[in-house]
Amino acid sequence: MMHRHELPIGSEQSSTPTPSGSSFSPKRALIEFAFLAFALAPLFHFGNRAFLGTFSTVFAAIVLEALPFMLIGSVVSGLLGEFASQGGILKLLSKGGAGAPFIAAALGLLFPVCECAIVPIARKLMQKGVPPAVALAFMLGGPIVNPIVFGSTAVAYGLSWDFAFLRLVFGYCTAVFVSFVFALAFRNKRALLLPLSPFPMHENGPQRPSGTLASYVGRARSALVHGAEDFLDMFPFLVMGAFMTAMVQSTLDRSFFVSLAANPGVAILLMMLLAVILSICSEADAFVAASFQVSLPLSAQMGFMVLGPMLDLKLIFMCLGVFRKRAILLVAGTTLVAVFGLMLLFDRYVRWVLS
Amino acid sequence: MGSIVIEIGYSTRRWWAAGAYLVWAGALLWLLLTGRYQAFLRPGFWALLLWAFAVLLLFAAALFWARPSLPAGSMPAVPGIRLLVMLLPLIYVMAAQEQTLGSHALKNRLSEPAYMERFARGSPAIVEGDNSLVTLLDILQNFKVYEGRKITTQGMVCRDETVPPGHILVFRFLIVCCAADALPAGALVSHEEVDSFEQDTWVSVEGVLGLKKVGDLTFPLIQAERITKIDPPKDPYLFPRLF
Repeated sequence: MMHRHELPIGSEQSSTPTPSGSSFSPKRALIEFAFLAFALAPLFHFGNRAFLGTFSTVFAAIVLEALPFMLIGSVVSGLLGEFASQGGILKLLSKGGAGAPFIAAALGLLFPVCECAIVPIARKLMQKGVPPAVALAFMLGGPIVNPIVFGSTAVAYGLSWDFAFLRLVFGYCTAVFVSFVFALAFRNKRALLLPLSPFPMHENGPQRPSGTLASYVGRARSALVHGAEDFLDMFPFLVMGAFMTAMVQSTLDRSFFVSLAANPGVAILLMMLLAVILSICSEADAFVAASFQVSLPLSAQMGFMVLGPMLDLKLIFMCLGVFRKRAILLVAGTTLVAVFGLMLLFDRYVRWVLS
Repeated sequence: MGSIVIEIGYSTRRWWAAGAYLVWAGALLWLLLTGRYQAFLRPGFWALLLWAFAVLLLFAAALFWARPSLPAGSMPAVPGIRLLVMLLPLIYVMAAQEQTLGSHALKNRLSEPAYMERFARGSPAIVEGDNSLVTLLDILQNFKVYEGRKITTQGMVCRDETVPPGHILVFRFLIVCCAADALPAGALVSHEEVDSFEQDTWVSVEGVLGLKKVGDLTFPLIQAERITKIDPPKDPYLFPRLF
């Protein structure tokens, strides 16, 4: 039974809805089992207790930091599913059109959420009929084009408001660009997975007259169930992404990256790679970027800050619960190329200003 | 008959999921009540964890109460493995008991200490007379204030091949949000008895502040008069003020 105004996540407007409830995926179960077996290995730490200390702390820290934000995303997603009408912004986004990605990429200014919260919300927007390309613009732009990230970036760079503003502009342009490429590439192809919700348990109790307190309580309870479903579906992906990130953080020497960054192009690429594997929250990553101020050019630091919130290990894992693999590959590839190109231009500009 | 079997199995799985939410909620409550969350997150995060605790309880209650409506013949499944994956971080929360980031993490994160100026939003410590108790962050933010003065500071010991002979590196981590973004703040310490302090031991150092160049990096140097082994502080990390 589908929810009011709701499309199954894989339907993408033009395709035939599949029955909800067909959520069991042997492939996903196998991946999760393999991951679980692999994930317990560090506990034995093979005599390296220091590694276990670093790994456990970083892994637990990433999950604990992301958890409240992901719950915000799940609650908002549940409320959107139950209460959001087809009017207002949702109508504007659902209609699609060339203007929609421009609006969606800037929505973070009104709803400042970080990347952990944004995936469940984007997922719900797509279920409500927002085209995937438009939801993608929100998903990529939201974690950068938002006032909290703007403030933290300015603080990390010694109250450099213009630098923080540039980060927002780069993030916005990249999000819109990737959205258009995605829309073109998947005009007639399915980009989303089949419905994956493990709990297709929409309320079927006695219908209460709308507008009464009882009906609001019933809908609020239903919204919570939707939120709980979304969270359960997405959280394991966050755990997997956090695990891989902690593994990398516990073994990778950051100074190695600096030593390889002989020219600006290489420095930008390496910092982009570092952003992907470190998976630091967009509200804190500016401080890590600023720690490379002496060793690396501004363009490389900016590349780290623009790419990280759009494409990092934990996000890639979370997207596995929403998009098909070829769609993730396209988004990842396009985002990498777009950010790299922008940063090369930015590097040229900085050098021209300084010369 | 078949649909009844599915319904029972389905309800059981739902309750398992609600149980997993309750386990997480219990773990958050324990982290909050013991203050243990500060081994992973900055102190201000308590409010967000409290929010997470409340939402997890609500989610668990919602799942207990929810009435499923299943299309005939469908096979909903919540693999138990997924629930185990969900609980995996809690195993590592327990594994990290009484541990903090130490010299192992330091080696992966050491870079030019000059960036610490970027954290200089807080007021410098008030210097009254000699031998002020200052943090390693104070030293990096306000080096000129303390240069040539006698100070006391606290941190963990790092000794390896990159630290010059006769010295130890005393360091602490700065955290903006969580341990994943931790950056080190450190100072070299010279003293004739530095060899007696083991890796990752917490020490209090009393001495005069100067500078020392090691390779391409310049470190604050404390010429110590006294180094004392101490218990780990309640808050092992330093949390720079942002605004």
